[in-house]
Amino acid sequence: MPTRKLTYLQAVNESLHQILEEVPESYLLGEDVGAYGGGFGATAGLIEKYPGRVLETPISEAAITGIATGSAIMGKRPILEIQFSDFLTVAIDQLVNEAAKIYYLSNGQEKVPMVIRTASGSGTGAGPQHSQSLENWLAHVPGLIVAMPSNPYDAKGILLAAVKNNNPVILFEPKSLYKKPSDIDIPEELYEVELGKAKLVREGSDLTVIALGRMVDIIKNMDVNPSLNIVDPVTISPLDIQGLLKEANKTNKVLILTESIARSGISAEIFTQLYEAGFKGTMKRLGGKFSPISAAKSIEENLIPTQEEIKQAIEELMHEN
Amino acid sequence: MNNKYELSSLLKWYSTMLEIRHFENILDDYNRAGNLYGTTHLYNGQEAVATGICLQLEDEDLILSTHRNHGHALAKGTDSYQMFAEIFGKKTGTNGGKVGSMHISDPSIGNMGGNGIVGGNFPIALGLATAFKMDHKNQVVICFSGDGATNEGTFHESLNLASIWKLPIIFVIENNQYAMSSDASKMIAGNIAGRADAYKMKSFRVDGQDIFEVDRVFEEARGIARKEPVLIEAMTYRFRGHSRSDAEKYRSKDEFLKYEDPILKLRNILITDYNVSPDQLALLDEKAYKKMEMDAKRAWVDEPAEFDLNNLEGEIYAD
Ligand SMILES: Cc1ncc(C[n+]2csc(CCOP(=O)(O)OP(=O)(O)O)c2C)c(N)n1
Repeated sequence: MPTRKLTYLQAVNESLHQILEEVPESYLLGEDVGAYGGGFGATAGLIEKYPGRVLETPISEAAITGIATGSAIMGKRPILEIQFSDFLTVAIDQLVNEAAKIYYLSNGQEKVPMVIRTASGSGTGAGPQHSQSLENWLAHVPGLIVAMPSNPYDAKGILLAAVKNNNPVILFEPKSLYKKPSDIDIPEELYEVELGKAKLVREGSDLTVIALGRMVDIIKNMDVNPSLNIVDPVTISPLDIQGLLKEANKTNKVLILTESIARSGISAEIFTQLYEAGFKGTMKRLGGKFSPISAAKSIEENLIPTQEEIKQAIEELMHEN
Repeated sequence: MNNKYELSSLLKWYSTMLEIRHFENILDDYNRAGNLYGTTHLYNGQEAVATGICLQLEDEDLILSTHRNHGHALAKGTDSYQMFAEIFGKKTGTNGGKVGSMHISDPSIGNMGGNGIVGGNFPIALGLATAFKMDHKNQVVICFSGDGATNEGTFHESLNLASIWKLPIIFVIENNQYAMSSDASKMIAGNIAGRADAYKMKSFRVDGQDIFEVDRVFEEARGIARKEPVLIEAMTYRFRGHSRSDAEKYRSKDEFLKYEDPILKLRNILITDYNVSPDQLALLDEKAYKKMEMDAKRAWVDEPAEFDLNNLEGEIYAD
């Protein structure tokens, strides 16, 4: 299969083009998804090719989440863009009380195969209402599937898996990665990356790092002494706890890294589930500080785990027994 | 025709509009030089709205703004040096440099701040006004927003509540024809002023490029707002892209020619009806530019914003 390198945004864009081509029930909707190309450019060129299947909407997050939900019940496969994941809060009633509940409420007679793509996280100076990592909020809701692809390859493939899935799937795309050059080969044709399955990013022998989203990129590019076994859960609800456990057991030492706030967060969930599944080694977690994200560069970078903090955590784990 | 106005007030308008224009242009210069982190939304073209309205307000009257808040902040009297510092991420910024372009506030002069959430400010306006009412105050709340924001649910919930509770709010909707790339004429059913009718609220539609009209209509609206809410739809145009990352593929480059430049319009009136010399106006222009340029330069070399990571609770919670 021919491959080449793409940025995260290019990979999502290509995937959307191919999905609209191959899945006749699929369509796109969202604010500025037409000529503007979506909040960050992921939907560029689509309205020209599929004018009837790219719906530009008013700024009405609650309503457009309902449109995705209702049309999905009718058999469409909507792909909704919410420009920044922070604005999911405006849509959250429709998402949590409606989309997530309809399959259960209808006793399985109605399905909601919808996808929401949304740009998340820090790293662009966008400030407190445009930089949050809220993925854990939605992972708390039964009925939703929540994933966070950490690289262009997964971003392209998971979109197809999400579109084919018969449940509401929310994809958090770390926007700090959107335009970053990547060294991963991306197949030209469409492929699937499985939801609910963790991925080994790099095999190593001393310490297992479970990293999500942007943190995968950060840890991959760090220069540290011990040999790191890096694993990416990819999907945070449902968590592939058996996959994570297998990797954790290889090294007996685990560091969990998230960009999202550590307190009451997904890292605690991974920590606990590993423990409950029988992991006997040592664990640490490192996540965002309990603070809004500043727009100032001088502060922003310190609010997520810094390289220094990561190194220190690795050091401590290596010296604990 | 305009002789109810003192020349001095017109010159104040002129200078304020120029300060806003230069503030934005200088920000854009810093951006083009690669010196801005984060985003900005420039107010070029809409200056008459903020100026005509805010110059009528007292410090105790409150304004709420949006992501596009620099013009409102300046016209309300927010310090331009501190605003630059905020946008540059400096300790000396209006908000400690921590929150940036979309969130400039200064409650001491009634600027309750910008807002990064479209439609996020309407409900807050209800609360500010409810407090005024409970305290039998004579002040008003001005809630600025764009055309796009009137498609959020909060707009409709807020108009209804403001109306049944007779809250002292003036909703000022700046219809600059676009919400990012969305053409207002395609996204909005009916017209915005008409939406007020449904909530039994008085409304005005005004030429937002004509500061005399903005001033006159706002004065009338302010009278009404002492008893009940009112909505002003100001027809205007956004001369620049939505934000600094807008390629403007959705409109033609010369579309702006259909809209008057509010600053040039006032300039012409000053020259023809008030006998002000072009030189005098050029001097005001130069002064406004110099002030903004100096403020930006001064802010640029200030210390970066700080945050005490060892005292997060203290940084985030009030005592
Ligand atoms: C809830 C929410 N949805 C979407 C956005 C992204 N966004 C920021 S500004 C904007 C357009 C706003 O248009 P309008 O209200 O007309 O104001 P203007 O930008 O024209 O001043 C959009 C869609 C946002 N900030 N908040």
